Amino acid sequence: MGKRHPLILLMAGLGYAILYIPILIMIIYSFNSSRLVTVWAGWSTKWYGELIKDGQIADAAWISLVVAFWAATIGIIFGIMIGYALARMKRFKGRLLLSGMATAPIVMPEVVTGLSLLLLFISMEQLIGWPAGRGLTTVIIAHATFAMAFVAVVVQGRLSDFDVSIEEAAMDLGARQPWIFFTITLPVIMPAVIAGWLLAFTLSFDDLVIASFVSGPGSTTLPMLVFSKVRLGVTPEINALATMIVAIVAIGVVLANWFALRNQGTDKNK
Amino acid sequence: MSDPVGGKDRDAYLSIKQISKHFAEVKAVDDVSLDIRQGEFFCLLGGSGSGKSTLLRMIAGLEIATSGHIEIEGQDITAVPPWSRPVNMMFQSYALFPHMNVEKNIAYGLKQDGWPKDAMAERVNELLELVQLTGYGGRKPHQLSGGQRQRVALARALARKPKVLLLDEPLSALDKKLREETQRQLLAIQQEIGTTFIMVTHDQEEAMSIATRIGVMDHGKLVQVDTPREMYERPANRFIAGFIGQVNVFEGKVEGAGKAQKIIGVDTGGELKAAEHSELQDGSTVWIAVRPERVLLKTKSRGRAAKAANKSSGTLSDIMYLGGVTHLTVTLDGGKLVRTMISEHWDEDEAKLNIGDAVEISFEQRAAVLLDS
Repeated sequence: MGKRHPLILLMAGLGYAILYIPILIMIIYSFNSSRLVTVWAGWSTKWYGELIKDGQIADAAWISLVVAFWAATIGIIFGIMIGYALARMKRFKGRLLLSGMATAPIVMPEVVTGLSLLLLFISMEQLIGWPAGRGLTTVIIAHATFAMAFVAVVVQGRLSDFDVSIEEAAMDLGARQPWIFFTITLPVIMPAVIAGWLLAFTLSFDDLVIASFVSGPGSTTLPMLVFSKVRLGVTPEINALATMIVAIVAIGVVLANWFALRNQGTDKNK
Repeated sequence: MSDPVGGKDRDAYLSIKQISKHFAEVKAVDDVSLDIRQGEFFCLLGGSGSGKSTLLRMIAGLEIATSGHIEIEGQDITAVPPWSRPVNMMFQSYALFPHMNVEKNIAYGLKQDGWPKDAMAERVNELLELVQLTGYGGRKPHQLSGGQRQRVALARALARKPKVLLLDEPLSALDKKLREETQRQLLAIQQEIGTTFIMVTHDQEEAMSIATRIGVMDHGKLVQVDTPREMYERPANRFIAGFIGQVNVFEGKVEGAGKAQKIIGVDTGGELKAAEHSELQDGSTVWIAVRPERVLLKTKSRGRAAKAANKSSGTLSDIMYLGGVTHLTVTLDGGKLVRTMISEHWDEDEAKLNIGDAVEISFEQRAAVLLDS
């Protein structure tokens, strides 16, 4: 044990190379001073400067951040509700089915999710007049639906190894629901909730397909803008933008993992 | 001496009346009645699945009884929700709130009761002192050792001055040495504050060493309630005899009636004489229980002359030296195994005992307990 076989290192190296070389190339070319993407002409950060000056991109980035923030926030509220219910209702018959259904949006093809939400929004508009047209609201609702699936999974996982006697102790000491939930349960699972929020934020931030279905004028998200610009040809500016998106997503994922790990640390108390 | 089962008491503090708890088909607790006196350190003893924890949780209100009543000081609390009951529980896992420091853990119950800040801080300090954790108030549970967490859990459960403190296997997570030390601390704290304690445990030695009375549970039933001494000396049946300490059990058949009644040993062939001898039905099967330390050993050259009522011969088949005492197994001529023990002082030449030696075992009439189930 402990001695690493050179072949294993090679396998790991190859795997990670396939995963990260394309991203690495993109990052390197984002610092290319040439206007031609494929011709290297020395280091420069000028495309990042161009990016900041580009009002269209700034607008799209702002929209994406707003959408991701609200989608993740709405997602955790509903996600906690589903996750808590699934973790606690141990003995009813359809639990496994419900549990699977709650997480289905994670594996559902985005085209299906996007199309079904679009149809829902259109029929809702016809029936009750809300949401009026497609825009920021519809994108936020659409992203919140898959965000809550992710949060539900994370929360359910955290609650499944949660020592229920902690809640019983609170009850024994004179507290009642929902007070127990807010003073005991929620603070204990908070790291998992934050991890779920960050994950949902990240996923919303880089979603293209669902947003394309349910967005309208004035709600073009950053990935949508990138995609439409790329169709006119890849520019170094886009490389710079994509690099920044990678940075934001990476920070989100790292933070989410950090919270999830911290979460395990508090479990030692059991 | 109290009743064998139930322990009815006029000065009962906590009264459990014919309580049952059924989970679907399983009778976790089956028609249990029990009276507990004020200031008592009562142990509910039983194996896993015996219903002892379920009974404790029903007293706490964490399980709802299928039928029956629970009264404290004459007041029926059966329908009172757990947050309003005048009892508190110490959980097996301690169930400390991991996101709160020691002080906040202990103060949680006081906060629910709306204590003013000053009084609360004073009470918390008082409790920290009681459990010898002064200065640890700012620590989080994960910064404490197992023994310290156990004491925080105790302090938290005692904070609201419960009429009865319930302890669910409070020492099971501690290692053996720490457990014995903690047992003493627990007993000292109980005596200092005078609160009635009900502790659930599966460890019979633990129950024997700290309880004022023990209630043994098996398959949801309360089998016997007695002081540790009575429980050991006069077990109600073979299950209790075997559960509390080690025991030799001789099966016997009742022959005759009235004054001529005899119990004939099934394995030994001879007559068995027991301490108490009420009228038994002719032909019924009974058992005679004898503790190993009450079985006397005699070899050809050594040992006490057996004037005892019951004796039998056999060969020494096993010797286990344990330091202070030596455990011996004797195979009687009929094939039955009998356990006995000798102390180091039994014989200076004790090492000369050899497996295969012809020996005689005996026990006195008053050492033999007659059991009919």
